[in-house]
Amino acid sequence: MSKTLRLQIILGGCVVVAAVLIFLWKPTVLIYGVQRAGLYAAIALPMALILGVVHIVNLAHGELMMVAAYITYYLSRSLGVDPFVAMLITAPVMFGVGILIYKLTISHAVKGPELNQLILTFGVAMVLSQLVNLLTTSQTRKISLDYVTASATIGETSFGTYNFLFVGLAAAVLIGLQLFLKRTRLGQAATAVGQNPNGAEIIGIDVQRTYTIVVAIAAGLMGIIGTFFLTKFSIFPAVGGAYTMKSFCLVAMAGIGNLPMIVVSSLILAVAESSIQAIPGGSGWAPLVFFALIILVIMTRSFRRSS
Amino acid sequence: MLKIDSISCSYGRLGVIHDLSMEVGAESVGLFGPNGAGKTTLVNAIFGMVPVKSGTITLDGQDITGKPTHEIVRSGVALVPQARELFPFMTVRENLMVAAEQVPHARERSSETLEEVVSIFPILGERSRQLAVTLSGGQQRMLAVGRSLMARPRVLILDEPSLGLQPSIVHELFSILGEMKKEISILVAEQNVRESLRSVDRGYVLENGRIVIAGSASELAHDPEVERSYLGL
Amino acid sequence: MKPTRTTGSVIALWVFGVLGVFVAVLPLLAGPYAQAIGRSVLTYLILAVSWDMLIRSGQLSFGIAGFFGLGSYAAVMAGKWLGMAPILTLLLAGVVVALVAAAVGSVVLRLRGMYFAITTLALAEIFRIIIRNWNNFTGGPNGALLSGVIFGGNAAATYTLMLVLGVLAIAASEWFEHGKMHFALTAIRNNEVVAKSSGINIYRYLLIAFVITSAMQGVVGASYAQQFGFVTPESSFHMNYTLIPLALALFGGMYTSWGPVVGAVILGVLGEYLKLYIPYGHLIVYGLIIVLVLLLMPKGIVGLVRARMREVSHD
Repeated sequence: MSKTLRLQIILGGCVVVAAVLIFLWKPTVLIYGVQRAGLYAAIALPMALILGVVHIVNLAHGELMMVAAYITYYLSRSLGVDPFVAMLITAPVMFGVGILIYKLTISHAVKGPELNQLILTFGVAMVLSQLVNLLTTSQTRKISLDYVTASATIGETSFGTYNFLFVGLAAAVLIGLQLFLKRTRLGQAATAVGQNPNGAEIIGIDVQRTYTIVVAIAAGLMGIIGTFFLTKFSIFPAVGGAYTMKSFCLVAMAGIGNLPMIVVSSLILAVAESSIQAIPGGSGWAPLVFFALIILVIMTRSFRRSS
Repeated sequence: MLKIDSISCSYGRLGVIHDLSMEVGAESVGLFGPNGAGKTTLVNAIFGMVPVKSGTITLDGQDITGKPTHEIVRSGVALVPQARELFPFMTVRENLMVAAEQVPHARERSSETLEEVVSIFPILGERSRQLAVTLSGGQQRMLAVGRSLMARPRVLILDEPSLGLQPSIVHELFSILGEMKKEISILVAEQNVRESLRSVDRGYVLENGRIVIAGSASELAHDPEVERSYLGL
Repeated sequence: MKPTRTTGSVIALWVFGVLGVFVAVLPLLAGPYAQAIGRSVLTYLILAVSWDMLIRSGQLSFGIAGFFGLGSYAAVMAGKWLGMAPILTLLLAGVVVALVAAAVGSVVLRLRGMYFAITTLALAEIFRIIIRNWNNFTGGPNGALLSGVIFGGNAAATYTLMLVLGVLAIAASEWFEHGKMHFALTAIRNNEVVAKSSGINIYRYLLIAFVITSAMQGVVGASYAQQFGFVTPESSFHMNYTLIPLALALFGGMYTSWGPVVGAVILGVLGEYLKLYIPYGHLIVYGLIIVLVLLLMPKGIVGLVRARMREVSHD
């Protein structure tokens, strides 16, 4: 215990020193890194809920966000309303999509081998992205909003401020999920189901209903997060895939089931990414550093478990 | 009263139940028999975890045959499973409280029930902030029994509660069960016939999915067949 | 243990064999269009077989596209910079990909389950990013062009090449199905602890399987690139090369040589027609197949047929 604590302190110290150095080098790198970390954490948290708490692997996670972004896009265009207004419809619709996906597919693989869950949800991911491709073509879509261009200046550096919204979003999702898990009957039941589905059944928990609602909550959250994503970024049918991988790796990095650590792992990855991007000629390599790092993290995690 | 009326069911190749009837009133009842006689299958059938092919199971006249497990638990039957099935990374207290939360009639009285459970098993009070996974085997069994009581059941069913416990703890457990039967109907499936006969009022002996002997505790204790097969000597 | 062969299954084997040879030779008689379809079927057939060969050990790979793309680039680069003969570049691509797989595999094969699966997904992405950014060697985002295509574009010759590769792939798969390799892989899949205690060097067998299947994917990538004479990061590492083989193997039936083959022949031919009718998003069919097969017939077509045959022989 004390050994891991010391390790954590050393690690924490390194992160702080690195942050200070980066800030002195290029303040915007840190600012953009924090903003990006907010986006990553917000997207990864619902996956942390279903993978970490009830142990369902969902490789269609990023695709749920993509579908949500498309729903908001078409709602806001056809109704002529702000995306955030359309979100009031998107979120419940996605909640329903979550129920549907669970009932139709995942529920049949929940007790089977993990491989089946992986292949099945990979299939679901492909169906979702290809369905959107079929309906809307692979053309990139974007909504232009005036308020996303807001910016601020500190000293000589000016930077966009809208993306701080993602930090707020991540914080809200984290607090909401923590409250849900600790304070609500359903959240407690979800924790129990995650730790021992048989035990949960025996004390009177409706296990299938719990799985269904947890997946639906994650999907509903993706409805909100997808809308936020749409307000700032371009969307296309394959946009979600990378976020499935990123989320999985953030969850693995944070430690399965540890929601607050998601924020820390997002910060490390996002700041590292924006640092690489700030190096001349480095922007193309940024995703590589990300993937290399996550492989490293997954490896050390699995080594520690096996030893 | 839990009443089982000529049920038949099967689970895999082992553990088949044929046309079995029994009842548990305001008393403690033992269910004995060798491995594979069908004890666990019967328990699982009562809890809706094994499909019942024919016959009915009623609780105070209410039909619970084939209902989903969580509904059966909520209607007043609680189970202490063989494998304990605790929540390893919840504290002792959380393990207890989450069980009370799931059953509507137990929910309002959860803190009161918690006090009662802790007075029966003082160790659970002492270890209330410890994770369940850190408890010893005997303590985990106590926690499993305590957790089932949190639902304020009318009928409590225990599947092999003495399995893997040292004799002194088995003895303690059965004297506690002997006390509890004043308030709850108890059905205990056991291989440790000698120890459980001390606490139960009546018993059934199960073989190949059928009841072969039924009688009061003292009748069973003196039955030559039971003596030979289960009490040794 | 293998069941003893009944007369029924011997007949079935012969029928299947003769039918197989017929289907394989047919495109050579039927002309260039049939040969083009046959080439595409064989491409996915080899990928599906190779994917299945690895999953027999319980290791699920989503990285087919990565090794396919790597092989494509190795072949085109060898042709472009060294002027190597097209047919030799296939061999070189196989060696290069095998080396990369050995290096990468020595690390990632320690992972299991979802960790391994997602790492392979990430690997494919890493390869793509490296190649995309290595501008002065690979041509960067624009890719690279060869001055000519293999066999001067002769459809019958390229079809024959693919047919040979396909037969080799099936032979490799059959080798995995028998003897020590089969025993080791199945033991690892069913229970790693038992496999370990029975003295199997799990790591060594996994590495052999990973290197061989990756090299197969690399050679297919190389032959594909040589047929069209160009590579780009987006097209050569396309998700299709992971998605379609998976669907084919599942549809035909996992954990056998013939499952992926049957799946590839049926769906491959069907897929060519689908492409004509739904040019955008025809891939949805493959996603649906993955989902439906897993839910409704987890043993695939071959599993169904075998169960049916067993029923018949019992009657």
